[in-house]
Parts: sequence; C-alpha cells; structure tokens
Amino acid sequence: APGIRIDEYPALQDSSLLQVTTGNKNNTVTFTDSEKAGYDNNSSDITLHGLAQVRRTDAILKSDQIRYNTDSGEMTASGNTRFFKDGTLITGTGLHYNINTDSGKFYEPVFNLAGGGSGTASEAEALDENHTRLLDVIYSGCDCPEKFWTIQSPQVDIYEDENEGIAKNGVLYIKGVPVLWSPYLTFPVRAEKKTGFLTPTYGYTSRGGYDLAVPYFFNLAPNYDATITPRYLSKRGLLMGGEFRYLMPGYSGIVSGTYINKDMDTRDKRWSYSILHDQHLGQFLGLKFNLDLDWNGVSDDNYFRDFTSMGLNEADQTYLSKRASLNWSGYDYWSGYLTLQKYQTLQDDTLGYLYGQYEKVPEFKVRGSRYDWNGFDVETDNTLTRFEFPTYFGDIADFSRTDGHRAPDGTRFSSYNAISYPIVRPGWYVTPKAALHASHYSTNWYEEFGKYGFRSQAGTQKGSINRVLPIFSLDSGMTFERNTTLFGKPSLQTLEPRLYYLNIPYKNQADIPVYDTSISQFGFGSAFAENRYSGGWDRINDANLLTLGITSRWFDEDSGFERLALQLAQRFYFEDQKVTLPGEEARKRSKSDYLAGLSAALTDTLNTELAVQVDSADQNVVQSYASLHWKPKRLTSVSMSYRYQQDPFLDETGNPLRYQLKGKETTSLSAQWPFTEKISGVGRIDYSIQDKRVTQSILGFEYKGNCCWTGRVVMQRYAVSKEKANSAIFLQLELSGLGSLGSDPMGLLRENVRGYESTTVPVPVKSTFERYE
Amino acid sequence: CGFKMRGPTPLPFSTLYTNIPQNSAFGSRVWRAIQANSPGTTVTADAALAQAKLIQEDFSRSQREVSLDAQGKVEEYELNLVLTFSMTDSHGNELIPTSRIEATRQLPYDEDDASAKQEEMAQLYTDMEKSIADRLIRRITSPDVITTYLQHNPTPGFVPAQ
Amino acid sequence: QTTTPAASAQAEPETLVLSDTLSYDDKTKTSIFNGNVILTRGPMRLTADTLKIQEDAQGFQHGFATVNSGKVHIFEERPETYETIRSEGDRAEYNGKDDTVKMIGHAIVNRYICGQLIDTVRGEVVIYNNRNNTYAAQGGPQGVEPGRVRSVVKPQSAANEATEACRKQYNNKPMPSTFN
Repeated sequence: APGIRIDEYPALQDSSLLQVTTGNKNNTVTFTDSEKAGYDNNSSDITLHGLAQVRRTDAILKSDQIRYNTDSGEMTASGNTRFFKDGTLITGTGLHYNINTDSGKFYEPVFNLAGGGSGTASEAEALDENHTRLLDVIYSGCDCPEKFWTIQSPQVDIYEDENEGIAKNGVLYIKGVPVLWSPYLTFPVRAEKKTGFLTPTYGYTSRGGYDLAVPYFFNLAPNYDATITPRYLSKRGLLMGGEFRYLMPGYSGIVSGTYINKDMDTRDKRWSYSILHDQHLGQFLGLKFNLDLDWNGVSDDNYFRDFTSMGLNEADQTYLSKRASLNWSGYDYWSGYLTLQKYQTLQDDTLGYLYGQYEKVPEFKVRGSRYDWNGFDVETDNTLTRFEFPTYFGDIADFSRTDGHRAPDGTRFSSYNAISYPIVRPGWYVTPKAALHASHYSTNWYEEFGKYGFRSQAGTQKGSINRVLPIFSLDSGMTFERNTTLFGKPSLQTLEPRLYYLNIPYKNQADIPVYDTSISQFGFGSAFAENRYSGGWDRINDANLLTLGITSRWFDEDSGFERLALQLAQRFYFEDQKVTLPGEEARKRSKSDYLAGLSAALTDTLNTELAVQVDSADQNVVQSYASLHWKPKRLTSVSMSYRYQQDPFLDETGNPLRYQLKGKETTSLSAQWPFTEKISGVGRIDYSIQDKRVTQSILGFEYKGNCCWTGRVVMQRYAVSKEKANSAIFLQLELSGLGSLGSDPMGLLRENVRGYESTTVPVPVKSTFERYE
Repeated sequence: CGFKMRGPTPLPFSTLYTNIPQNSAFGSRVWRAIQANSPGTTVTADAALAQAKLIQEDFSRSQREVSLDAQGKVEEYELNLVLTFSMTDSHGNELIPTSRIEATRQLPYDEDDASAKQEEMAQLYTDMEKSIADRLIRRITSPDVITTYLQHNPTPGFVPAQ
Repeated sequence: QTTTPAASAQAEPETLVLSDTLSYDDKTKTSIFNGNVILTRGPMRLTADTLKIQEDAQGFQHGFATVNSGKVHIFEERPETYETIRSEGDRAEYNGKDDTVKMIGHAIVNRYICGQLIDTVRGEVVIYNNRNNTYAAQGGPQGVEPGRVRSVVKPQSAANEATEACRKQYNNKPMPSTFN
C-alpha cells in the first residue's frame, strides 16, 4: 500500500482562479448536438442519433446513440462512448449513467483518471460521486502506451476523496513479470500526501553493510504527518527511524529520532534524536515573543559515522547543537533574546585531539537600532552571557586533577553603543562613526586546583575585570566614471577609491579570559571593520590604521548590470600591534598583506571569481581562491574551484601557532548534467592536493523511464574521521503513480552541488481544463 | 584618462514606494543613495500614491559546505545572498523585470569557534548587503529605467543627467 | 378576409385562415391564400406569405406555407401548462392526417414557459407531433449548423420554477389565450 509524502520542494500551485466552481447539480444547462434528435416533452426524454453529444458544465458524453432524460438525469449511450467528468476520461462500448446522482455503469471501459492513473476493465460501476468499482482491472500509475508497471485485480474500488484505490487479490507486474501479490493492495489515485509505504531504498555502506530502508508514511492530517522508517543494516541490525512533522497556525516543527536495541558491531543500544520547533507566543507588553528550539542528541560519538543515510553528509557533525531561544522584538527599534546554547561534542578517538567549546548558559541580549534618525544611525547592543566549558572525564586526555574542568568559567556583560552620521553624495561619501564598548568580566579561574588551575594570558587570575574602550572610525570614498567598452559592449567604468581610518586606544586585555573570540579571516569584509577579532570581542584590537581600497567596476551602459569588478586593498598600521589573543604572534610589519579580488559575469551563464592575498613582506601568496561557475540552462551547471591556504607559521616547538588557518590546497569540481532526455547525472569531487587524497566524492545518476518509472543510483565516499572513510552506494526504483519517494535523494545533494535543481516535477492533477474535447 | 566624478542622476518620478524595510542597514543604505542621486524623489509608505514601486520579492541567505578537511570536518563555507526584486510604475508597467543580484563570500570555518564564526558570518552578510545595495542603485538609476518610465509617463520639464 | 371551416370529421379544432386574397382550384381541390396569411387552428397560429391547402382523397387537409422573404412563423399556446412555442423556418408543411407540422429549412423551435425560454432546437427540419406532444429534428445541408441538430435544454428545475411563477400569477387558472 504505497503512500506519497510530498516534500517541501517549491512546486508551482494551481492558481485559485483555476478552481472548478461546481454549480449545484440540477441547475446546469444541457447542450446537445447530433445528426437527428427527438424530444418528448411529456417524459422530457431526448434521443440523439449520429455522433451524438450531450454537453453540460460538469460532464460531456459522446456516443453514436444517446438517450437522455433532462428530468431524472438518466443517460443511456451505446456505440463507442466517450465520457468526461472532472478531468477523468472513460471510453467504452456503452454506458448507463445518472448525471444527477453520479452513479451508473460503464461497459468495457478504458479509463484515464484525473490523478494520472489509467487502465482497462470489463465493467465499471460508479456507486456514488466518491466511490467507483471496477471489475477485471488492469491499472497503471500513468497513462502512457507501454506501461512499465501494472496492477491486475478481479476487483478494484477507487475512493476519490480518500485518494485511494484498493485492489482485492491484486498482483503487481513490472514489465509483465509478477512481482508482488497481496490480498489487499492499495495505491493512490492522485499525487497527494497519502498514508502508505514510500519507495524503499537499497544500498551498501562500508560501515553499515547492506542497507534496506522501507519508510511508511502516515498522512495524519493535511498539516501534520509522521513517517516510520525501519532500516536493516547487515553489519548492525534493525534501526527504527521515526519523524513527526507538524505545521500549526501558531507553531511548527519536526521531531525525529532513531533507535537500535543491540548494534551487532558494538553490542549496545544506540539512538539519536532531533527536535526542531518554532512557536509564536504572541504579544505581551507591546513585544512580540517567539520561541525556537534546536535540540539534538546522540548515543555515542561514532553514531553518525556508522549510520550515515543516503546523500546526507552528517558525518561532519562534531558539535550537536542543543539550543533553546526565546526571541522578542517590538517598539519598532528594539529586539533581543534569551538563549541557552549547549553542545554534545562527538570526539574522534583516532584523532587524539580533544574537541570542546564554551556553552552559553544562558545569554541575554537587548539590541536597539535606529537608522536615518534625522541623518544619524544609532545602535546599542547589550549582551549578558554566562559561559561554562563542559567538563571531560573520557580517556583521550586526563583532567581529573581539575575535576574535569578544562577552562575557566565566568560571566561577561558587554555593551556596544555606536553613532554615525553618513554624508552621502552621488560622487562621494564620508561616514564618521564613534562607538563606546564597555564590558565587565567576573571569572572563576578555579584557583582551588592550585598550579593546575587556569590563568589568563597574563598569568593572572583576576576575578573581576572592567574594560571601556572608545572606537572612532572615518569611512570615506569617491566614485569616478567614464564611458568605455567591455567585451565590445558599451559600458560604464567606475574608479572607486576608499579610505578607512580606524582609531582604538590600547588597553591591556591580557587579564581577560577568552570565551568566544577568534581572528577574522583577513579579507575585503574585515579590512574595513573595527575589530580584527570576531565573536564576543574578548579582545578589541588597538588600532591606529588606515585601510586604502580601490575598486573598479564595469557596468552595462543601459541596464546598469555589473559585468566585472576588480578590487584591491591594503592596510597601513601606524602603531605596532599590542593586543593579541593567547598564543597569537603580534604583527611586526606596518603594512598588511595585499588583497586583490576579481569577480566577472563573463556572459549571462558563465561567471568567475578570483581572490588572492599576498604577503606584503616576502611577496608570497598567503591565500588564494578561484572559481568558475557555468550554468548554460536549467538543470545544467558546472562549477570548478581551487583553494590555497599557506601553512601556518610554526612556533619554536614546531607546532602551529594558534588561530592560524590550517594549510590546505584543494580543488573541487561539482556538476549537474542532463546527458540525454532520460539520463541526468550529478557529481562532486573534492581533491586535496596537499594530502593527495579525495576528501569527498559523490556521483549520482537518474534514469527517467519513458513510462512512469525512474531509477536512481547514488555513490558516495567521504572522510568520516582521520583514517576512516565511508563509502556508500544507494539504489532506488521509483514507480511514479504507485508512490513517490519520501525525499528525493538527488535533491539531498542540493547542498553539495552549486545551483542544483531538482529534476522530479510532481505529476500535476489533470483538471477539467486540461482534458477538454 | 577621461574619469570624472559621478554626478546626480535625477529620476523622473518624485514619489517612490518600496517594501524594503527602511529601518535596516540595507534599507537605509539604499534609501540614502536614492536620495543622494535624485534629491527630487521622496519615499511614500502608500503604495497607491507612489509613481514608482521598488518591490523586494526575496532576500535570501544560504550557506554551503564547500570543502571538508581530511578528517571530514567542514573547513570552509560559501555564503550566498540573493536579492530578487522588480520595479514598476504606478500603472504596473514594468520598469525592471524580476531580476536577481547575487553576492557570494568564502568563509574558512572552524567548528571549535562556532559562535565566533557565526558572528563573522553576520559581518560578511552585512558586507554583501552593502555590495548588493550599490548594484541595486546602479540598476534603479540606469538609463533603461528612466526611458521606460518616460515612455509610459511622459513628464515634461524633466531634465535627465548629462 | 375569408374563412374556410375545416372539413375534418372528429371534434377537430376549427381552422381559420385570413389572407389578402384567396383563389380556389377545383381540379386539384387546392385553395391558395396569398398575402399576410394567418392560419389559426386551435392553440396554433401560422403566419406566412402564401399558403396552399390541399385535400387528399381521405379528406385530410395538407397545408404548404412559404414566404417570399423572412421566415414562416408558428406560434403555439398551451394555456394549461403556461407553455408557448415559437418556431420558424424557410417553409412549413402541415399534415392533417397525422396532425403534424413540419418546419423545413433553418428550422428553429423555442419553447417558453411563462415567458421564460426553456429549450431551443435548431436543425434543418423540425417535425411537430401535436397528438403525443413530441417533436423531432433532423440535421441537413440547410440546417442552422449544416448536417447537425443542436439544442439547448434548461434543467427541469428552471421549467418548474417558471410554471410555479405563472401558477401564482394566474392563481392556478390557465392563462388567457392571446388569440381571440
């Protein structure tokens, strides 16, 4: 009994204007057309001969001979009849049908249902508007000449409202070969959400063995449904999966989980759960409140590595977020939240490196911002956060001496208040901005553990620290233009010098703990930003610097479409860097790296991007990125990218300095390509030149059968930990019309292939407007 | 080499309606640029009154894992911001068909500093918004829009930029 | 204006024909009425330019009505059911023996109840059978749609409503005839 679960890919819906407004049954006008006609006013019978037609707004009947009674609605037709009603076409040798009671018999009908199903029968009887019974039926999911699959059964009952066809003693044939017999076989007649089995997925994964998942979908209501997915893995056993989705006026969400009682490999219980919930709590004291929950958990560190499901690349999850947040906004300019953020950390014992990060238990934020308040932009951003680093008692490292604590815990209050006055003219702009950042830290350094206790960057253990820093910046730029041509087309070229001066006095911050602050990646964004540290600003860089940028862009003259942009930038420091993060080496040079970037829409379908960062001292490339993205037409895209990151500087003991990006040199190719009308492929290969290793490869092919079936195969191989990689292959046979799949696996690759578009377009229900003769 | 400072580009319509929220970094940047380029144009909250309408149909952020390190950890995200907009005059004639302006940025990611990286992401999105706002202004003040508007609404006495 | 009493045997409704001129050909037993011909027979009235009435051997009368321009019109009333039937065609033939009227050539028949149009039939030929209250239509080259018969029939509910309206209007008495 296959069911259908429609996923949320954005499909076009019928416009409401297309709704058929069925006038009430008995006041529809009847038109007749025939060679001969006879009318009997007493019995109000009409008999028509010779290519006769009776046409009403709700039904059309064509036949050699028709007798129709306008009073009772009785119709009797004989000789190659064609009967249309609500998008369903039934042809046959004759019929006896009452149009007012929607009941009657069709003899030797060949039917094409509105929902796409079609077939033949010896006789069809419409018992009422909703229920039709067919005898000696051959049914298939879609109306095409040579049917790939059919259901044959002595008796099939079709219930239009329940969107269900029930075949008694039905046999499912695929290409004429009997595949499945069942005393009670149900199938959907329309592509709507319907209770029943979804298309199963067969596969093999190196860590899970042979893999068969058969989801069963419960269409509990139009706005909430559930799916139970028993999944057998040969190396592990039966994993039960479940998902409940709900969409209510005030709240919506998805709750899902999996459970296996005894994993044959690890001999113990394993489970995972995920709760996503979003709820509007309404208005209170003029503030709009809403609650959102993103709470996940798993039984052990290796769960995702062992139980990867098709297409989804969950293996890269190291931190499972456990977040609950009460958000509010109101009075036009104010907003904020109270958030609890915890993590379940999945360690990788092959790595010998201990993951961990601070949790916010909780964080309270109040933000106010008002733009163009007679010329001024003002904002205030105040956050109070309680930080706690989770304790660890595992065996990768021993923290018993500090009772499991790995870092100081504490509370931070930080307040950032800024005012700026942008002066904007067509040819230039000047934006002076002044801000004041005040923060207070009260920290528990766990001195009670003596020398094993924690110390700040300066070696101190100050319990309470205050920091107040003014920030002044002046952003200014000009725009020069000239007419020129680019690629032969008239275009407008601009020259946009930009000058950004930033001044923040130095304040020793070495006593301040570092909770959630790191170095921003140096680039065009951060080159014109106030603080080179990102996050909670546990460090605010001392600054007396000037960033010079020059951008040149080419616009199509008429449409103003940006065709090519070239950017250069460099920072000039007038003072040495004094504020550093623990373990960060202070910059000694007075000039930053050069930054260069180019992005070009070479044609409407081909665009490219280049970015490079060159060390101003020894002129070598610190970082570079290049990408080419080609999207000739729908369902077709190819993109290539190259990334290089210089190896981090090593300290004297030979291990890399902190806050440095790991060195890498990788290339990636991803593409979606329709080879032929039927076969389309999607693929992605990431190759690490440095490690000489393919870090991730996905290859998927989809074959669209010519008559309501689609075959898919997805091959995947990606690193799940330092040594281990998981390779998986998944197969799927979708009999469209018998039940589409839960989620389109090719669609699951959406995150991996840039510009991917789902190829499966849902079979639209044929409305009366489509089948009209 | 022929460069001269960009002058104002007056727009033929004096009232403009937009559903881009004014009290936002993006909205205020767009609005200040329109004001600077065409001082004669003021914003009106009443769509019916406006001689021109700038409709933001969608402004969606998305991120994509672009590379995994040898341990299978996300090493870099690609951030994507797409503005879908259209522009019509008061009679619904199309000045700019539904079009998209897109910006992408690369962000090296380190899971251990999730909250620091989240804030850095926010900073990158703000920077992308600035770039999209500038390009949007170029589209709105382009000769195409002005000539199309004048075809449907001849405004005698309107002096276009030289 | 001359009138000729119908000569049929049973209690046939009296046939009255008015016309500008009348001529009678004894040999063929045919009387020819010419100019503004109005034939009234019981509930039916026919208007045409010329009308020929012949008597067959058994004494039944057969009428042939034609027009120089426009259409032959037949107007029939059924006061008890508040029905009126208007039909038109290039020419009309009346068969006294089986009491049928045949409208030939672009024939159109409209049936009204209490002034409401209930159904319409269009074809090349429409044959009226007054005795059993039926009519039949055939398509042909001179049909309104060549070769086809087309009809538009309002539902029974519309007919009942119209009947009800007239019943109230004439509080259950048949509606007065418009002929006399």
